[in-house]
Amino acid sequence: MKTPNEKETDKRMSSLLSAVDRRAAAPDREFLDELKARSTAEFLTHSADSIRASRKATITISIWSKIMKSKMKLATAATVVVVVLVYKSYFGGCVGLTTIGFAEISEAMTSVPWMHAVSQGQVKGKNQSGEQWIGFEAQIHAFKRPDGRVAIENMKEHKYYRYSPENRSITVDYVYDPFAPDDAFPFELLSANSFLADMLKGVKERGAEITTREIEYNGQQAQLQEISLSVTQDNESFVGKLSLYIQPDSRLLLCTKALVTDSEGNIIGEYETAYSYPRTGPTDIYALGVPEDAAIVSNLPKEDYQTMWDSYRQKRADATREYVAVITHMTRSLGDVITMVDVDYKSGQNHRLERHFVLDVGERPLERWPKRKEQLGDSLESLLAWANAHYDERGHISVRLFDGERYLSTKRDKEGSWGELRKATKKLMPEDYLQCLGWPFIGEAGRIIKDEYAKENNLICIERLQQGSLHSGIVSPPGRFVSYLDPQKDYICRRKITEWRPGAEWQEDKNYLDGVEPDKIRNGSITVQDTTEVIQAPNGHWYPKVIVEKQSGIRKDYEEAELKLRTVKKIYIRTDPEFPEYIFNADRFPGQ
Amino acid sequence: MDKDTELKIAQGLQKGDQQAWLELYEAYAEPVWRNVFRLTCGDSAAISDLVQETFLAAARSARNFRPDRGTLWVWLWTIARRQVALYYRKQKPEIVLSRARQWWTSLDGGKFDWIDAKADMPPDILESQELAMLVRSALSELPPDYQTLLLAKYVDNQLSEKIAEQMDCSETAVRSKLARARKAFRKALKKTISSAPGAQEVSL
Repeated sequence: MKTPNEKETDKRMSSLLSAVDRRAAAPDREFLDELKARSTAEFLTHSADSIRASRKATITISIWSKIMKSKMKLATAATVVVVVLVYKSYFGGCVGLTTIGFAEISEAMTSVPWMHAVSQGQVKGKNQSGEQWIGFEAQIHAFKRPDGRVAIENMKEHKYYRYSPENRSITVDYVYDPFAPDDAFPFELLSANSFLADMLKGVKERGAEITTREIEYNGQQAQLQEISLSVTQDNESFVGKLSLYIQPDSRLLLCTKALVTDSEGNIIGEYETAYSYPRTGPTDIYALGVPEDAAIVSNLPKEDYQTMWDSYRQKRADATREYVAVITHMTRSLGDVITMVDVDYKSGQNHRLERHFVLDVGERPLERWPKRKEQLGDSLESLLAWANAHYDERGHISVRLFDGERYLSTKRDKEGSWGELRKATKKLMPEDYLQCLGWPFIGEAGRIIKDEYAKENNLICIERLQQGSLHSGIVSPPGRFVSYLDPQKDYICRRKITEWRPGAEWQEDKNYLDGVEPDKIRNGSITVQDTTEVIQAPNGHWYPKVIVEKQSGIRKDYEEAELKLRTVKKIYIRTDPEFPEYIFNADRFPGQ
Repeated sequence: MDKDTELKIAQGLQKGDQQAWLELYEAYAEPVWRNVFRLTCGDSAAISDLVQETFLAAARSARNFRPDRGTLWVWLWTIARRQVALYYRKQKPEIVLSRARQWWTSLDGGKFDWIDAKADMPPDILESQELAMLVRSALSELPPDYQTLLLAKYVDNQLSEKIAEQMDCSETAVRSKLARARKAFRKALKKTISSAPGAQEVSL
């Protein structure tokens, strides 16, 4: 039941807003009918183009980019993915998909709710057998290995369960990719079709031999398509054969077989996967045979933290959906000299970052700076104008782009020559673009703690502790990451502390440095990043304006050391930008 | 539009299915027209241009529509809203707005109380074209989801249930978002009335 006040508010809103409906004319039907025809033609033209383009594009997008973002690492060794592994490792490309009737298979595989795959085989002598289910609608990915290990990822709930038969325990983790584009779940299993597309993109047109014939497969008629090619790589020759068994009526994939041999016919890898398409599949870990009395180890965030974290991520996503920002970097050693100007463009998933080096190698900063300072100015317009002119001329720049599918990066030297275009499978954005500056990664493993600084400034203090580790001879000391968030201002991070503390009390494995040479053991350090000024944009969101970073330096007595100014970053932002056409266009990315 | 139909159309769009496009067009061409009119009050030719640009842009990107990112209507209106924003930038409605502001200044009474529903608003003021202009300008500053929500609730008088369906969220979420949208609108209207428009950039 509404209160009288609410009723009055509704009435007033209605009166005010109805003002825009006065003199309303009926929609022009004739025009709308004409537009219907025009827009339909436009839709059909672009759909055809984009279907062609997407088939081409899928070749360049690696399944690894998706898998590596997923907790489902076990799945990387599974079923058809291994086919990709085998082909990707040895042939690194893709055959012409249209020539093997991909479109028909693809069409059939867009509508199945579940796929079940049973695989067996080996790559370089290592057994890779397993069983896998993918629920395309349910967004569930489950995997079962012969050794009893089981894992299931529920992508809707962002939860990942894994069962260890040795410990008889189920570990539950929260799955979230801090670097995923807005609202995008990292592992996008849209359909069996996308799965197949990923499978096929490991091979490219290098004189591949393709044959098609009708055969009998497990007592039923099937079409067999075989793709063979030879490749020489690093002075070694390989021969690969991928066989697809397809059900002739439904065009569903029944089986894939991959075989890779060296030039002498020795088998390097072989793998066979049989597919079926059940109506349902396992929706929890117990359906995969895990005992119900298995202990549960939950790594899920606590409820208060989860609520805060959800709000934090939401605010971050809302505030950084669309903008152009310029970030200037001043370093302590050069006084007020700006050494870098970053231009950060963001529109939905599209993201481009240009890093302009203001002073090229060999220039004398203090001599050059007065004139350059005048050119740069102190406003978004003047900085953008300088950056655009710098882009069109010469000088050292690095550019990174994510166009919703691909990550590209390149750089230009001071003479104006663009370097090699890098196509990456992981996000290339550094940690000092707007989103990370205002709302840095705090992770699911943090906790809210009481703290004097937080109390004095009405901030929420989040602490995250990290275990020290040793990987490939490289020591990473235990880490402590503290973020002070301002709930009154879109949860913007007002202070961030990064501390590397050897000998930390929270280190569980106290012997992790056993056997490491003393000179390889890192000293500790502390870095404090303060957002000293913030600003509210016309869109209502708060943004960092000035960020000052101070460091102790890496030293034994870092805890007693005075923190010294290291950098000052200033941020200029426009939240209703117009983007030049080329900005997010991968085809117009430099260095191609 | 119910969820099943929405999903069917979305799947059709992804496959390049003409029928899916036609269904989308039939369902939303008129609503887009009406809302564009409400935000611009331009002449018929200007509205036609904006609606046309909206649907042609939508046709070009329809295959990339992702149902998990929002409903068809939200997607379509986001495109339309961008066209409307461009229109405002090109038209520079400063003079008309300036006149509307002068008109507002000349009025007697607790004007901000009128906006906050703390005092009655004279009917002749509610009927005035100047107020319509100010409201329109304030609305155009809001995010697309707030715009559609406010127009659906207070101009089209749609029930929360229907709005929730259109926005693919719960009725509770609609009510809560509506409260934020009202607040944002009142703030935008007060800002439109009392300050110079068009300052989109924050110089930090």
